[in-house]
Amino acid sequence: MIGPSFEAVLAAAADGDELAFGALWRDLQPALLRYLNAYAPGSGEDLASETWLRIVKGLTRFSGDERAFRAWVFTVARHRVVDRWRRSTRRNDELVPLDALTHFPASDDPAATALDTISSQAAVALIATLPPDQAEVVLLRVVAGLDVAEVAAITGKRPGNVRVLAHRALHRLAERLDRQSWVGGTV
Amino acid sequence: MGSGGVFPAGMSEEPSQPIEPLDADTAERLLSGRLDPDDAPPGYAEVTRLLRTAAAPADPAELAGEAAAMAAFRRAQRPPRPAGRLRKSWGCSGEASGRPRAASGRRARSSARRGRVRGRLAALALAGAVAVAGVGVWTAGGAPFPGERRSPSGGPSASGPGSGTPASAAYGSAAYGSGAYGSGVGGAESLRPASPGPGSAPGPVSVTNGRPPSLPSARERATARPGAGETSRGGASPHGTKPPRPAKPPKPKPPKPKPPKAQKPSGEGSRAEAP
Repeated sequence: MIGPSFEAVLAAAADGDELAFGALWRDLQPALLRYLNAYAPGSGEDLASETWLRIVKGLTRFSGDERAFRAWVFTVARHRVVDRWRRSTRRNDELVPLDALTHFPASDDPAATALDTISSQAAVALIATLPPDQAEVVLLRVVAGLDVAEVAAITGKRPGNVRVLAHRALHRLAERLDRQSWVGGTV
Repeated sequence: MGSGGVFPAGMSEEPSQPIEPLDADTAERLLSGRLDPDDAPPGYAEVTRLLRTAAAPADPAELAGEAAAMAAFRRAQRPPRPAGRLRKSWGCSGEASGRPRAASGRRARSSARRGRVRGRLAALALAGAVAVAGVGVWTAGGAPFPGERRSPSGGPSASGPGSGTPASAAYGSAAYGSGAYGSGVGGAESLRPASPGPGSAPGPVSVTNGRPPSLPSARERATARPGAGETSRGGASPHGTKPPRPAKPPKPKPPKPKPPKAQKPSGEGSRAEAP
């Protein structure tokens, strides 16, 4: 998060200040990439570029605080994912659906057993193995740093539904992490 | 998206020890990163670490595209093309139209192209009509009235409003209705011929030489009718040999009752991704 200087940074970026835009980009790009890579592994960079292009075009029209800006960025990103998915479905070249992301690390992998050593990418990949709506709620809450109301607005769900999905996701993750005998590709 | 779950029922998904669901407050702290793994309820310490890892600070690899992003930002900040170049690319000669140059060059070009095509079609249709009329006259065994022959601009407009001026003026500058073609802004002047031809006063003249002399010719009928010969649509035929068409009296149009428009709320529409 940029903090109290966000408004000034945003205004400068809207005026074409590269440094200000760089600050916005560096603040959001990692979370954006993680979120997009969870949906479209391998296409995260492309989707992030498309998202930033939209952001730059709409920067002068945006008004709101930093949280609203974050929510807007992830809304744009989500739309890019949906667009890409539709295009790829038309071309019979489907992205890997979240349901199919069942690549678990092998149990004998020491890097996998120690969670504090795994990368953020692996952690996101693990979250992405949850049912799609649960995974999305967790990613938006944890990776994007949005609250329940913002996630509800982005996903088109009720806040209560978002909470329930998050609870289920946490419980499911706890169960999975508690079990040390994951079987790659069979679950 | 459904929440059917990844794990089918009956699979060995059971944890080694039952994990209690979280209470709302703890779940909220966990999701917002405010829960320390050591303080996590049993079974959730690893989840806490996992989520912290997922929300970890940026990896250098994730910021590798900064230069490209900056370049894209610079490109997006470039000012639009200068107006002079835009005007040049329009290439239309409708300067006198008075229409503001707010439309894009592409729009103007396509409009001009459409105008030219329409103009050519109208010219072709007119030429065909002239040919048919000429053949009819000569096969009927008579020549047209001398007045008809010397009247290049008599009769009503052949192809609707604004088409009564010579084709060269009409088709060359169709972009924004500055010429005779079309009815754009400023076209009111162009809808009228600059100077009516000598044969324009009598109006439409029909070729009736093949008929018995006792019958009144269409020309006579036309001249006998009040208001005949006046072109209500403001156009004299550019060629004067258009097939006869008696001028119709203008139909009075009943005023159309306008239903009261419902006031639309001026609030924000669907937000979608618009800022």
